[in-house]
Amino acid sequence: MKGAFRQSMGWLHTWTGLLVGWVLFFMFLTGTAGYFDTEIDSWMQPERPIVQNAMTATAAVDAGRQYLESNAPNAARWFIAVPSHRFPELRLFWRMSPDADGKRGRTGRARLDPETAAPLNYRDTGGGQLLYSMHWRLHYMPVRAAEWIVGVCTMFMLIAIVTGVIIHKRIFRDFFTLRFAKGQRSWLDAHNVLSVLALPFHLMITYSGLIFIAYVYMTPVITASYGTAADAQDSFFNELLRRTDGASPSGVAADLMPLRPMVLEAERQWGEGRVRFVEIRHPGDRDASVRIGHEWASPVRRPPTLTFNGANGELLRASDGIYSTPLAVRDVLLGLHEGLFAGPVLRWLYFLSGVMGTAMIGAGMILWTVKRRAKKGDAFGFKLVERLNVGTLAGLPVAVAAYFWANRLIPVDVAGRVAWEGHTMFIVWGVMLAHAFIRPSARAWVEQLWLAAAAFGLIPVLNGLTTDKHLGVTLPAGVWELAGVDLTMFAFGAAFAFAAIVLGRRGKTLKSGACHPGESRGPGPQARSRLDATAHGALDSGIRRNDGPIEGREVVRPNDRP
Amino acid sequence: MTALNIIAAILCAFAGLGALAMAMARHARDVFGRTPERRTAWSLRIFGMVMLCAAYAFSVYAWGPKVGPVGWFGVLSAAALAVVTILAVKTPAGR
Repeated sequence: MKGAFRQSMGWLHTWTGLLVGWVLFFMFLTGTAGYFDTEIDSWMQPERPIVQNAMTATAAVDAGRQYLESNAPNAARWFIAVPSHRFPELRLFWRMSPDADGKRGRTGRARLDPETAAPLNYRDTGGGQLLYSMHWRLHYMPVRAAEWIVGVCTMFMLIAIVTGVIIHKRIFRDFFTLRFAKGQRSWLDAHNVLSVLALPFHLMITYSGLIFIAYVYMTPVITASYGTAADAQDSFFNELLRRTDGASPSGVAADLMPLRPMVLEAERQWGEGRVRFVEIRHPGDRDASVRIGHEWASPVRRPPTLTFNGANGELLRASDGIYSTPLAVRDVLLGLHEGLFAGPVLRWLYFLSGVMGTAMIGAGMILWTVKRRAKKGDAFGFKLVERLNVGTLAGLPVAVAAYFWANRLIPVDVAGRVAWEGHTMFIVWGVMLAHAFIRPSARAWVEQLWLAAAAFGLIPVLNGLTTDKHLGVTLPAGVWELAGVDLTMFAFGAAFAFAAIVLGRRGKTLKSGACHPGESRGPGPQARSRLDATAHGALDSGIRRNDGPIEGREVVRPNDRP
Repeated sequence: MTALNIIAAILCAFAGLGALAMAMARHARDVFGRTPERRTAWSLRIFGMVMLCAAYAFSVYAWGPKVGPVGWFGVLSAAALAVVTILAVKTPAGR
């Protein structure tokens, strides 16, 4: 009975994982990059000055208000994001009042220099934000459709995680076990180790990902109480998040009180440097309100706030950010998912866990092919999976690197350059997939890995040639946000080169072994097809520590199992 | 101080997980050439658990009571990855 249960769970694990594996790989890869979205943003706008001193909150509200009063005087909402270490500029947003026919008002945004308060204009770029938002909005499709695809895939991921834990026979005994050069065993070890070591992260990120967009997947829950009207979801969220007060202005004009005393009061309560934003609703109206938010300090996503009356400066309310237990549970899950509270070290740990998740999916996909090559190597389905693996597991990293290249190589004044940065990524991915289908797959692996190595490894060089924010400047100045991007790219290049060398060397050793002394020079068609098989053997056996002489018989045995 | 506490947390997690691995026959054999005795194995296990608790304490010191537990999980994953990598390189080929 137990055996049958485990077997059926194994079946479920294999097929749920395989079916959506490529989408999950895309989501994990872009989402992991998203933990450094702001750093990538800065890297992709090399015109940004290197800021040494952060602006104080009081100076920020003064400069922000001055800009907003002259540029968006009739807005329904102003938002001033106070500069911080991770976001050194003064960022402003505003939303105009709804139109007469009830459409939401237009929005605007501006960025000011934290030292001079002058408006800043940088090149248009998708930046880290586009890369990050792809992990749930995908690309080239309506957001709602993408959310459904992502939701189904995430559900499959959750099933794969739970069934994976069930079918792992020796989760504790094999906790630290990773054996190289054992073919299928090595890939299973790698898949297991990457899964188990970061299991809390995988479980958290998958489950919270589902909760994030649960209101889309489970609309009937909202419909049951709020009906099916077009604005039902809006009213649900307005009530849930207590956005109901001050929803509409009185229409009576009244001067907005100075913001500085309110910010000082917040700093008195929380400590200096703890104010993250100041939001003003209906500035210039008698019912204006000013909400001051605390910086990211805990996994609870909703910050503590102080709300002031904008017309007389009175403190109306202090909130600790916890409105109700269910909402707080959701906020913690979402906060854990986004990791916005994470400082530099914790951010790197998040990134590492994300990389492990991405690699876990990749190892699982390769394991599927390694397991079946001997028996089903010629089947159409097998070849399809194998080719999609090459084009995605190696090809998608190449495409992401191309996205960084596009940022530097597309001229700054080209119209629609943001769109073309995105197109570049998907065109390159398409080319990689096509390449994977055209070339023998063993060679496609090596070629694409080398391409990935070059594309990532040369990014610091490209940066040095095209900008003045290269490692020669950022390292001495200690600007780790920018230097870190270059160094990480280089590290990925080195890792891909290592993988390519291991695969290529293995293929080559086998090549010389494949040519029997009796054979004429140059591999004939038969030898060539055998060469493919041997290079597959190289992939199957993973990293070989012992590159000793390979006997001919090993050549014809691609699966080189113990 | 935060930085020192984080470093301490990582070192404790590494030592703790390393000790837990050395309490296991297979890994001990790969590193020391012989399996540990029962008493040694239990001492290693207890030491390992104490170190993991210490890593938790340092994480909470470093990041505070709300973020500390999150950081602890991250530290454990990173330290475990380091232990696994070292053991994988140490393992004699073909075993």
